[in-house]
Amino acid sequence: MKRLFACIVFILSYGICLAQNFINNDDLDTQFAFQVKQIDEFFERFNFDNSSPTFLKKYLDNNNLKNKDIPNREFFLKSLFVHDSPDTILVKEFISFIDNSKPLILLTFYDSNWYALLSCDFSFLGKPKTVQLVMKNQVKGKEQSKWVIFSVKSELFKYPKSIDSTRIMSPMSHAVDFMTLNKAFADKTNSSNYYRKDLQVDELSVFQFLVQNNILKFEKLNSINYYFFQIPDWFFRVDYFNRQSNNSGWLISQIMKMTVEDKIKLKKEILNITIKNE
Amino acid sequence: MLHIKSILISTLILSFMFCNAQKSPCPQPTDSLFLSYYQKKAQKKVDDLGSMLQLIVRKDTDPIDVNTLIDNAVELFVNEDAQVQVSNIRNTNNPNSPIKIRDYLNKLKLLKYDKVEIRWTSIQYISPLRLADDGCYHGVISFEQEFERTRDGRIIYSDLTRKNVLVILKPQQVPIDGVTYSCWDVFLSDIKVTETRQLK
Repeated sequence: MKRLFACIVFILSYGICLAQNFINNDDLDTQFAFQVKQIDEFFERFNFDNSSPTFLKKYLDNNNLKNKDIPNREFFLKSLFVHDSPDTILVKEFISFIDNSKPLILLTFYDSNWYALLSCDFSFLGKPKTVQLVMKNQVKGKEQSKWVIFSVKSELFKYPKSIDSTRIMSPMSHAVDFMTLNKAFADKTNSSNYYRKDLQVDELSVFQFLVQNNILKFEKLNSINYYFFQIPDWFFRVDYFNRQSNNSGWLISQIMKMTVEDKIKLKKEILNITIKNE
Repeated sequence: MLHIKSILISTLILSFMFCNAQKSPCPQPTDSLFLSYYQKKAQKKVDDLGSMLQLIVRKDTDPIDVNTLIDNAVELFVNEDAQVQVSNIRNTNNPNSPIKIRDYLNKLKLLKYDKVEIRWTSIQYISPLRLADDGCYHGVISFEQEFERTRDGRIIYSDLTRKNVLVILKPQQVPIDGVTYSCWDVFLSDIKVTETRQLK
């Protein structure tokens, strides 16, 4: 306690010097204010509510940067798109759809239908392998949650199709006490011949086993993309744009109009998620 | 007789419960301003860390004070396992592996330059504090930091980094005047570099 007190006094005594050590650069401040710094800020701007202003609106108000477009939800929705996006017609349609929705379409952190896709480097028996982890915010009760690994994608979990259907264990193997098992396990190119025909590999279970037993080791995370499926008839993807511009941070890089069936297909294709495990 | 005895016992239990039901002096999750109160407190701790970093790197700070400052800076964190990612402009796409907070502070202390300056932006973005499965509330504060090293009066390195720091609001048992209250306190946790660039 004494030590803490001494430290506080010490810091206060330097107060004047420290106050001068804050950055005072309007350009940097403006870029920082406009940047979508966190996915939480993405949600905040998407759901723009004039009665509880966003970080950016407060900044604009405090710095007298108001213009005729501010404040409204359309302005903040526009700020969530990559400005060099080629699909401007679709973007306009989406913004108008969200802006005019009744009841209001809002995103919440606790929605079930959005995912993060993480591209990671792993080491598998000493060899580098890329594994994509699909993360989901798993909600317990009303608003209590944690991120969990929901699905995985990697070439590592793909087994080759059999090239020789005649390589099998004889139906009479039992009579020789299954002594051909060693040949079956050695035959890597036709391995599927030796397993039941409806075998579905549960990639997530295999992944957990490999990591748990130090066969697959995490090296580093390379990139993150977010996929949002919860808005009826629309899908969009959000990427991080690291650049010196007011149009930077977590921005919508891809948007598509999409039916429920197409969303199911896309989830399977990109995130390896099926209706069964959703 | 039995009836009177049971009334006496019930009265005794109720009065005991009443005496012990002391209202906590700290904001509780049921209070409307609970989260905004701790958001501000988290922001204050980030500012405190910035102030301590500036003092740790100053060449005119007494070495004994530097060690005290390091101890106090570590106390701002949830535990000693909190990690800090360090980057530099030569390696922007591949920041170094994170290091533990105390190791990071000790590295800062040992920087061999005439002058090192760390300045923090005056604006910060703080996310909502969200209830996690561990019973704590978690949030993230984004801020900018300028870093400048000088040797022989010349700036030999400078960068601007954008950082996100995880903050955790944890329940604590706090003794006040012999009574233990359920309170909350906010701590800093892992610090991630999101961008690094050369200062103009």
